[in-house]
Amino acid sequence: MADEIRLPGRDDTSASDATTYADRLDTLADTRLAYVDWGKPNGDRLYEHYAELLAAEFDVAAVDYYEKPSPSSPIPQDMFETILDSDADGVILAIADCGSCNSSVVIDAKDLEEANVPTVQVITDEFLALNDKISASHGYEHLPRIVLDHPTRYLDDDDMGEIATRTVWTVQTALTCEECLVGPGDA
Amino acid sequence: MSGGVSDDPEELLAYLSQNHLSDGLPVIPPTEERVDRMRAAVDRAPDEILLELPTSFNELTVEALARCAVMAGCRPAYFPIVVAAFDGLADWPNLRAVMSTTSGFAVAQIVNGPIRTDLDINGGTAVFGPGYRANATIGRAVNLAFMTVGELVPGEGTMATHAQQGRYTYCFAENEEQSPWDPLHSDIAELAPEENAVTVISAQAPHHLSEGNIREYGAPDPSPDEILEATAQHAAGAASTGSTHPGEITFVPAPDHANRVAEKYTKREVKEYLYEHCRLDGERMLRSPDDARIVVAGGAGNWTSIIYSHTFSGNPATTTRIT
Repeated sequence: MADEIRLPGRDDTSASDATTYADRLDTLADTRLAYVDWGKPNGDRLYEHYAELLAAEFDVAAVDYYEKPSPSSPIPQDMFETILDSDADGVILAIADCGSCNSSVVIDAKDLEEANVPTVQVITDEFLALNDKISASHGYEHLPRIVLDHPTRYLDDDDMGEIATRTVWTVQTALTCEECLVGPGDA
Repeated sequence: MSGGVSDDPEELLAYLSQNHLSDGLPVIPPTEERVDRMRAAVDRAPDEILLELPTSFNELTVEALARCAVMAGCRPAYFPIVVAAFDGLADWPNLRAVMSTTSGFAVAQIVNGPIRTDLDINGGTAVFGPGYRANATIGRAVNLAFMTVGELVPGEGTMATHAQQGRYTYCFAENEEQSPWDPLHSDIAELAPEENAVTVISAQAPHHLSEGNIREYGAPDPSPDEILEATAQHAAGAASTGSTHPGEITFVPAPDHANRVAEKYTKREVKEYLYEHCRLDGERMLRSPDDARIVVAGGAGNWTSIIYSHTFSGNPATTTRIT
């Protein structure tokens, strides 16, 4: 008779007490958005293109630019409060193209959504599985994301402009569409 | 989960490998009797939650950690060190980033106090290499907890581009007997040298340097200043993403270097020197002299190792008394 084996287990519980998504916006027109740059290559270029396109396509009033001091850590408290104090109607979090970047982008998105500020993350596809895992472990499987081909760091300004043009409507959808909050397991 | 699994080592290893519940190496089967014996080495409730372990954020209990320690090959006497390591990690603000980062950091454990000699934890020759059960299995138990409870599965729970061997095991002792200075746990946690403690750091693999990079090969008698100059130069030269923000660096001089430097400098003066001279593009790499963590370890030879921390995530070296 074999001895009983006791393996270290997994509890499959969520690290969050509750899951709260922000109300989506009725429209982007006349809104003030924030763009938080992870400080990775081309994050600044993507901001420039988004700011121009969001104004032209959706009459966004302003897109404020912030750069995180560390891509691996969540937005510092003072920067977080500055974003909230600016009455940002929505936040773009970009570009999470590394492992720790994706660990922090989920936390930032979660915290902003809980403060009733809708978000959209811009990440690269190599880190989608990790982003999925951390999102699920916090019970936030439905956080909106734009997934780009990895790597983005070697692209030029024309490439970034093309990406912005291709994805700016997804930014609009992520910040305005309640029904579009879907996760990996949703049909 | 734990029922119905074979205790045959080969079948168990196959099961663990298929279910991402191991590091790939053989394990000691965690039978009920072995786990109970391991757990009894600490006065802690089995269901006590030590922390929610990234990147799954599953709860790591004392019981689950005891199972990992058995699997790793720990003697029960090692278990208080493993538990103390996680008590320290529970205080970190951003362990999540260390586990998920592409830059491949690991958690290293540095043991101080009489327990080093009591349990034969190596701090001397080949300090970062194999050959000592305590070093091998204490560090492995820590990593097995990440692999199993934390679900640090490559490609899902961790995205380390290369990772490093320290994710198998990364435990070592300070060579207190051959150090000219006070031990790490007294320096940073103000514990008495007679107390036992473990310090956890986020750690790249050790970068080895001799003073040869600033001196002609074979030149005799490096001066204390030459050793420190070489150390500061190397610290800047080998830093990479993840450790380029100002923050802690652990310097591990072997006794030869440490004692040569100590002929001229106190430990405090060494820290001040490193604070002033470790610079990347002219900017200080350390926020203060105290960011220079100095641990004397290794055997004979003119070597110092530099262990970078994941300064991007802001987790400090954390020392916990072993009880």
